[in-house]
Amino acid sequence: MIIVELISTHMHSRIVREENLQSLHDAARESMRAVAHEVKNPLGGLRGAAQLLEGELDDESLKEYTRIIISEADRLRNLVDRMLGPNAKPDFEPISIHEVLEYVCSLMDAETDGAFTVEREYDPSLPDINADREKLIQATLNIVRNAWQAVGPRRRDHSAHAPVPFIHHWPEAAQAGGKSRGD
Amino acid sequence: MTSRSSAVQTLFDNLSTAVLVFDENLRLAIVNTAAESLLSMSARKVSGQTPAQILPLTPQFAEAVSRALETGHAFTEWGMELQLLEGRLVVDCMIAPVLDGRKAARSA
Repeated sequence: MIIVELISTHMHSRIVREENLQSLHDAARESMRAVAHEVKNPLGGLRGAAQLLEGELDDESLKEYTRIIISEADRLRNLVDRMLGPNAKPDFEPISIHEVLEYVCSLMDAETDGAFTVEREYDPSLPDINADREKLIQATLNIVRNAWQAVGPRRRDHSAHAPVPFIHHWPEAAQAGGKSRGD
Repeated sequence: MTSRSSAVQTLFDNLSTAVLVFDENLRLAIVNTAAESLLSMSARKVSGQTPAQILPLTPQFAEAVSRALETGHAFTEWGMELQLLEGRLVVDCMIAPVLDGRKAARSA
C-alpha cells in the first residue's frame, strides 16, 4: 500500500512571497533610517552654528545669509523626515469624513486666497469612520493640492464629479453584504 | 475502505490534506474528498486507476509513486507541478509506502 498526500501550495507560496516583500521593504526602510540619521546629525550642528553666527552679526545684510542657511537646513530636515515616512503609529478614532473634508477646503481656501471653490455633495447618512485625523487630512490635502495644481482656477466643471467610492470597504457595508449573501 | 471503518472514512474525508492511497498493484484504493476537489475528479471515476491514468499529463507523479513502491523509501517533493486537464497546480507531494502495516521513514 502506498499513501500519497498532496498539499496545495497556492496559499503557502503567496504567504512566502509576501513575507519576502515585507522583509525587503523592512531592509530598505532600515537603511533609509540609518542614512537619515547620518544626515540629520550634522544638519543640526550646521543649523545651530548658523544661529550662533547670526547672533554675532550686526550687519542685517549678512544675517540674510545665515537665515538662508537655517531655512535650507530646515528644508533638508523636513525632506529627510518625509522620506522616513510616518514615525508614529496611526491614531485611530471615530471621525466624520465631512469634517475632515471641510477642514481641507478651508485650508485650500486660505492657501489660494479664496480662488478655490468646490461644489459639495455630501451624503449625510455616512457614519463616522475609524481613522487618523491628521493623516487623513494630509492625504486629502495632497490630493486636492495636486488637483488644484493641475486644474487651477477655472470655470465650474460638472464633469469633475466624484461619488464616494470606498463606502463598500466600510465594515457596516461589508456586514450588510455578508448578510445578504448568507440569505 | 470496508464498511466497518465508516467513521474512519468520515474522518478521512474531513481532512484538508488531499490523500490518495494506492494498493500494491498501483491501483487507487482510497481517495478522500479533499483529493477529489483538489484534482477535480470523482472518487467513483478514478477508483482502481493507476497514477498515470489519474494524472496523465504529469508523468513524474506516476514515476515517483512507483519508485516509492519499488524502493520502499518515502519521497517528498516540495512545489511539484501537476498538470490537470483544466489547469496547473503546485503542490507539496509526500509519498509514503506502507510496508507490513508500517509507514516507511520519510526522506526527501
